[in-house]
Amino acid sequence: MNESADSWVGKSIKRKEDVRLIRGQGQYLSDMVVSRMLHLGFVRSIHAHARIKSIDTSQAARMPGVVAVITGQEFKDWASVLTDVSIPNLPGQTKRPLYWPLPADTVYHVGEPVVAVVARDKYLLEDAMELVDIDYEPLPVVIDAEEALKPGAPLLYPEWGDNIIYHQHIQGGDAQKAFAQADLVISERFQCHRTGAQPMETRGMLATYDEAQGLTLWLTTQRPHNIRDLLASYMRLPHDRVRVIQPRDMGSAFGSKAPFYREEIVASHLAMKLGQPVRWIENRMESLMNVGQERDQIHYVDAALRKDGTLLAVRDRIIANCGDGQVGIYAGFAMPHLGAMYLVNGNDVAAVDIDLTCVVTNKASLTPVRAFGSYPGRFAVDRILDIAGRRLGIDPLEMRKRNAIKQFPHTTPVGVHVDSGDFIGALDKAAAALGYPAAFRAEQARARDNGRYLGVGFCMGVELSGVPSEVLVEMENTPGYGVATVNVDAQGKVHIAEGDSPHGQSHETTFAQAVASELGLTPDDVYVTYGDTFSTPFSTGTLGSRGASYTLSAAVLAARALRPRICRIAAHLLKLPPEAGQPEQFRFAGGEVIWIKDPAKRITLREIAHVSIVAPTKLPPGIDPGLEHTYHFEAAASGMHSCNVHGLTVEVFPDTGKFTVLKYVAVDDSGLAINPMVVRGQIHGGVWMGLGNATSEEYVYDETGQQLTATLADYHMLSAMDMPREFEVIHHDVASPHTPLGSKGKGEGVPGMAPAALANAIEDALTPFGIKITDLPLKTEYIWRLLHPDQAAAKV
Amino acid sequence: MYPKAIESYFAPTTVDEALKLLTEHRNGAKLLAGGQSLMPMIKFRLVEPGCLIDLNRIPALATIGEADGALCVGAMVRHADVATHPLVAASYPLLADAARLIGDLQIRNRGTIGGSLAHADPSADYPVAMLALEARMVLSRAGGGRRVVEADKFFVGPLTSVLDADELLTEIQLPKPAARAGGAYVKHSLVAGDFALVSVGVQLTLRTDGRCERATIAIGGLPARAAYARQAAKLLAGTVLDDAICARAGQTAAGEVEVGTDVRASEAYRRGLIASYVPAMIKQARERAGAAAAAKK
Amino acid sequence: MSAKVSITINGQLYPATVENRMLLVDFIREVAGLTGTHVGCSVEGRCGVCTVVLEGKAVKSCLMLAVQADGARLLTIEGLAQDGRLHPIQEGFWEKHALQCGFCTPGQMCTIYDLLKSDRRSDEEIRGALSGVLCPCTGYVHIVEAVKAARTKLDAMSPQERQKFFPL
Repeated sequence: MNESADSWVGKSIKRKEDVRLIRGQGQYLSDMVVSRMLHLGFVRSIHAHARIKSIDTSQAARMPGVVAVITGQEFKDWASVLTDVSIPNLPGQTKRPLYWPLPADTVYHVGEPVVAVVARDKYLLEDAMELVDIDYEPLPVVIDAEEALKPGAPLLYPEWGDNIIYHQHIQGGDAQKAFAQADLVISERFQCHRTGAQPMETRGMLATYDEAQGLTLWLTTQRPHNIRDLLASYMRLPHDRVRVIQPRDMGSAFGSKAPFYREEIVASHLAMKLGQPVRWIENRMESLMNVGQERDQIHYVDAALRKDGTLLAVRDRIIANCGDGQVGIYAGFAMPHLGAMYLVNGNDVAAVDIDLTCVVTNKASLTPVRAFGSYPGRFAVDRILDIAGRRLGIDPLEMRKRNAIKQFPHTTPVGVHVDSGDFIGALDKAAAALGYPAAFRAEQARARDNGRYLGVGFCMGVELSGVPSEVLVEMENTPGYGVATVNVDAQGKVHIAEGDSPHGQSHETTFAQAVASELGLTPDDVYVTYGDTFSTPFSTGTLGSRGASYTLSAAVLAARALRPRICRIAAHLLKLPPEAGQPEQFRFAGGEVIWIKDPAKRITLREIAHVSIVAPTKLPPGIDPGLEHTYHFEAAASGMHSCNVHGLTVEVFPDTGKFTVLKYVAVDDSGLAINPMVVRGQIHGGVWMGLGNATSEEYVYDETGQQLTATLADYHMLSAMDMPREFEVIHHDVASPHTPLGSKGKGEGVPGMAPAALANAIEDALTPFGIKITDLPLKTEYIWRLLHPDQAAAKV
Repeated sequence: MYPKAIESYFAPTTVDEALKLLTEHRNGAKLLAGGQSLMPMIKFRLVEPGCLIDLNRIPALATIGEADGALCVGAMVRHADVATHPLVAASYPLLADAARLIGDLQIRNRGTIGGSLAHADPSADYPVAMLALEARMVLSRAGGGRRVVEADKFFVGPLTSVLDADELLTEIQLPKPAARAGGAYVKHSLVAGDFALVSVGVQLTLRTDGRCERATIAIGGLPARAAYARQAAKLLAGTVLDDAICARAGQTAAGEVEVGTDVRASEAYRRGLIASYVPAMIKQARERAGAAAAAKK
Repeated sequence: MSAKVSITINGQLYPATVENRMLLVDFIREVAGLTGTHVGCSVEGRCGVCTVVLEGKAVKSCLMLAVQADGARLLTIEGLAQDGRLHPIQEGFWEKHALQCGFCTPGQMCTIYDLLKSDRRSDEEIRGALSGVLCPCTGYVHIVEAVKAARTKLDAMSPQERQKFFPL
């Protein structure tokens, strides 16, 4: 590491991205206009399960301004979308749903695209879509996962014989023995509803095709390289004639822009067929009906404990409602799989026995959402700690201290490697920030005397700090390494090309901070490009907190790899003695490379770059021109994690079930925060999602599979008025031993902390009433029903 | 997402012009006030007006003033102005509360009291306030036709009022409050600013001895329309409004109105909320009535 | 079916013939070419990212027709900076990291413009004013701080200076 006072690492500098974004000069997908651009729209299924009897497109096709109307007939000779490379290859039993870019004859959820219409104007497009006439024969619908498992349930894919898309039995340690020896066994059923994410920018794409260059697809995607590969493979296009570009700006994603969907196939196909650019912008109803739906699981948990509160073993029968599974890369079940692997999370539990059944139903397929499968499991296990603590008379902080992973590195019984962290310290900090136990319990007692109910709750957990190849290759047919090309340009500025696709994660700033620090520059001297598969190295995308863990590490190591060559050139140009060319003899600072022995001997990086690139005749013998290095960073461990604790205090109003979070505390480990302000921003947003998911956000389907939450008037996200008024982030960083700076990734796992912390706090507030919370969402009606079971059942 | 083609769009500058257009185009026309409820319906194509009559350029509809002690609020007065107007805040705090809780800042900047009332959403905020304050709606038609309808008679059912196709709601009249009057409004929603699961408005007047002279209790978030809890209100008359009577009123109100189950909440929960919020609003209205009385001394 | 309109946006007049049904947000983005204002929901008008300033008030431009704004003056994010100086709102956002993906930022800023013209200063009033623009990235924490920072900067200005930043 360049030990210089010029280090930018750890500084909360203003973001470079903001220069354009605060001026309204962002370049998002829908801002792009190209000549002859056509507008694509989809007529979507109004049935949850139906056979398509006939489609009449003639009226729509005849409308002036309509250029094309296609149905599933267009794709009937194509292969099914899910192939060996676009479905997870996990241990366990997997079945593969067959589906096409547009359905051949059957639809499986309300909102599934059925007919594609292309018109010259987007308003006219809607007029035309209304004229498409689809005749359906409704088929029996199954919505509930446990119902779908019963014999005689309607089958989505009759050839399967059941509705199980994936089943896995995960074991580690000797659970049977642990249960036999337990002082206490707790059995609970936990349920998490279907909830997730709706990024403010919906999906969109612009496909252009010409014979010379092939297909260029501008796409709101988190993983341009993966999509490029899958599109090329699936559409049988030569790889060199497929280019996917994530626009420079993207209005967030939270996982919803990671899968390989149908629409990109249809848009690309139409662009090729029509020889004109084709643009599709998803509207919010389409988004709510099709993407951002996750969680939706039932956990039947048995926990074996010693009477001192130690968890000896956890058994869990998990039933995940995966929707119809028709989404590329994830097929609806990758998330429940990873969630199951992470079940015991931050707890040091010797034995685990998990039975995961992923069920298909006539809902939209699950797609990845921030926390990636871990949200329901975290709720379940952290609830178990409080429920067991109550039974044993051990307070929640103590329960967590007893069970927290204390020795690092730690490998869980199922093989998850937790490299570094400090739960005990984090728990102490969270407790102190909430005045727990003494001050808070006193306040709670006083409040109770005044008829007010205050409570406190904690949640403790590990979060992914990137995902290693070991996991990702199996789960998503893609590597986990971070990669960056660092290139000092002809004027001594540094260009970083990364294959990932940031969309709010501040890479332009944090990567600049890190690399500038390596080369004695300022962040203004470093620029980052991304998103274009033709000019960036293959990388698996912006997800899973890969940024500061893997990708930034690659950029740092690439920059470091250039130092020896830079120093040799410096020594040569400064006419230093022959042995003076080793990197440790130089300091990089203020844009210069300075000989430590005699600081009068200094030369700017700009001059060195000029020689290296423009005037290579002046290079020392044996040194090739160019100052570019690509580094692939794979951590020397099968997993890296951050260790975090969240806590909150709440006031509950038993008459109405209403509650208000008084103070939220997040004690956060980011290893080494490159930009602490950016880290805090990630925590704030993650907690926003965690709380919203836990309380008001719910995708509701009625018994016929109709979506009742297809507008933002019905899918309720938290506004500024709904957030805790006091929100403190406390940095409690424990450097990762595996990354060059010690930095850890941040952002993915944050939402998973909120539901248990909140449920634990509400239950704590209502201790005098003795209720037990087992379900999400924590709607005020749910709390009220637990408190007033007689009124809840009464008939007027 | 996008509206169907709109054949004609008019932006009259006087009420007479608007009424003429309305009569001319009758069933094919829609009146556009703030647009915060109508535009979503037009964009969703639930409503496909061949003719849109924009009321936003008629200054005469956007005034608030007193006439014979009553407060006359023009139909096109924006929620933001209803919430902050000194005359409203001084004499009708219940109405100010309700207006302040509608939607969000942008909605309150554009949305209008007349537009909202004409839309008649059962979960909206104004209907409860209108009932509690015993407001009257002035409905006008071309050729000088005019009728004044009591609030309770104005609302028929979900999204339905007594407005005829050729009628325009021009004004809302709020009767002059008594010397010792006070009111309060509360809404319980899933997230801030959202429609009510249940809302409660209480307006009451106190006698000189501090006992309750008269009260109105109105409940919103019901399946068809906002409604009075008449029996509950009757219980309060002549009492000192102690905790016991307030609780009884709450229970009575919860039992007497027609409550439903929908995706937002169950019937049982709504009844529970009514039973809880009615007493709270009675107490707040009583405090305000006492304060108003003190202020007038 | 169509009408001639003239709408002034950020001080510049945009005359055009548009269909009656054209949404104001589409006029801003496609006729005037000012793509700083965004579209985030379909029919419901709930997300708030399309918020612009119309005659001094924050309004959701997806819930208005372009024809309604004939003769009116609008301000969008592109019009906040004055004489090459960033608006205190923009500075506040930058300093406090009040944006991540930037998609809702234009709507947030136009809403805050309206708020800052009033004297509503408390945390509750700030949150109340922000409730109409959703922001999943920040959870609003830094946005509230940015509003306060902007307020502080404005308070330090002379009335004339301050007035320059509120042309509508």
